Amino acid sequence: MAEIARTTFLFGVGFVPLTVVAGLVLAVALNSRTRLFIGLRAAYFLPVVISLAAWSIVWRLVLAPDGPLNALLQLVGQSPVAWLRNPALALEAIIGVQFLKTAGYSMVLFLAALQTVPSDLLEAAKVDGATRWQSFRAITLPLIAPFTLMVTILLTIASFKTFALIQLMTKGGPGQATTVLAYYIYQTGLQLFDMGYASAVAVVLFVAVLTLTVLQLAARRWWVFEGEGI
Amino acid sequence: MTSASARVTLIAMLVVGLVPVLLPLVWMISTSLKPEFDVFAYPPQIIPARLRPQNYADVFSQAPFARQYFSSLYLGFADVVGTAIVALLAGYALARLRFPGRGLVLPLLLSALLLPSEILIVPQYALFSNLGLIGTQVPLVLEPVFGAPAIVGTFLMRQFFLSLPRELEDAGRVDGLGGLGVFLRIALPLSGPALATLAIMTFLANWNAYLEPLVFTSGRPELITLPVALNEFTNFDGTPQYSLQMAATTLSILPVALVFLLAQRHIVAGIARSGLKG
Repeated sequence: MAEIARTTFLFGVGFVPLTVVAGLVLAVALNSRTRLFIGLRAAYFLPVVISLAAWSIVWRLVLAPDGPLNALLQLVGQSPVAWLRNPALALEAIIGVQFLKTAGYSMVLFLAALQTVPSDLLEAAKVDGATRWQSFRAITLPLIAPFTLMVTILLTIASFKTFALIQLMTKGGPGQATTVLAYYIYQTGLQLFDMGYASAVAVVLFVAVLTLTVLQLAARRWWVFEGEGI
Repeated sequence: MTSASARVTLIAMLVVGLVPVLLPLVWMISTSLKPEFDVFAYPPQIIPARLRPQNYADVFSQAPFARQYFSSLYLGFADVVGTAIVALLAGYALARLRFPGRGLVLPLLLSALLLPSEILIVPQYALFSNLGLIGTQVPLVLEPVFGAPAIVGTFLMRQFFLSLPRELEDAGRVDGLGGLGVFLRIALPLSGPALATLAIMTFLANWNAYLEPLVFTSGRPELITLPVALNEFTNFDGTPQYSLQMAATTLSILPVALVFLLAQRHIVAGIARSGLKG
């Protein structure tokens, strides 16, 4: 059980910051209304509307021992990698697959956040000679902080919900290397039918979700610019 | 670096970043058209050397795939209708009606959203099992219509009704409409765009749901929905039949991808809104 809590935690630690940062970077890069950029946004967002089951099944093929990713590696002279069968790599691989599925979602949330930054502030900074990076650091980032917090909470909760990915790609294995809490609940409660034990695990997961949410909301007090909020 | 070349660099980077997002989907379509024997051919064939479009026919003959597809469709519509009814009525009540405990209802409902469905699945299974509904499709309608998706919907509709000018409804009252009349004749007809967003979001969530159909139908082939069905194409030893899985997966993604291209703005706005304000 401690091992499974640790795996769940590691999954979140890998997945959430990566997806928050990538979403922010994509949103800033694509925050323009030209046709090309709207098309690029749509392409990045496409995996979000696809079912996680379909995404997992496609990626199970991509990461298969003789699959296309290893074939590409061999073409450039690298040796193939046992993505999902190596206990040291499987969790990272799963994180990567979940990340590619979710980055577009994070991007769209940040795009909405960027629209709330008043353009006259950015104009004024430009007139005062601020570089793009400076105005991003000093204006944009503090102003969208409440949204960043919300995105972090949403993605943290999403990371606790990881199920289809595990069920379809690794079944929690190899060993228990990718058994996260949500999958463990399913395994113990609905496959082994030890419902009491599964419910106890569920309570642990619930307390974790609740604590993180409360902590993050509390962090808002000193972390977030006190504007109108959301 | 001039700003034009910076722009070209940016676009190049953004296009390269798309490779791991889109190439797997290209590979999916490519594999769906190959004979199973060629799936792992080396060097990899992005354009199949031998075409086998019968994979798409086999998908329907080897499994009750048509039935599973139809299940996903009608369960989706049932959920849209049920969720819309709950969200419209509850959302309107929370936006406009005064009743004791009104201030408590919304925080209570929203705190229920903190409970991921993965946590609730075991007690829900026990509940539906006691009702004798495991191994049927009934829970797949009951759970979303009275669960988290309806709460998100209720919240969306409440926000929408709050944004409607009260004067419209007051005018209706002056003209002699009662509470129900105001709702049915004035508020409801104006809610079209919000309702469209809600319908698309609900349908999409339902089309993509995996855990609930897997658990509540007991995995019975004639009851499961598409996301669960995709994994059913296996050899006798349980290993995946990749070409058939990819054909089935392509068929399951197709309508979603089409609707996404057509209603992209609705979908993106809906997901951003229900995420950020939920």
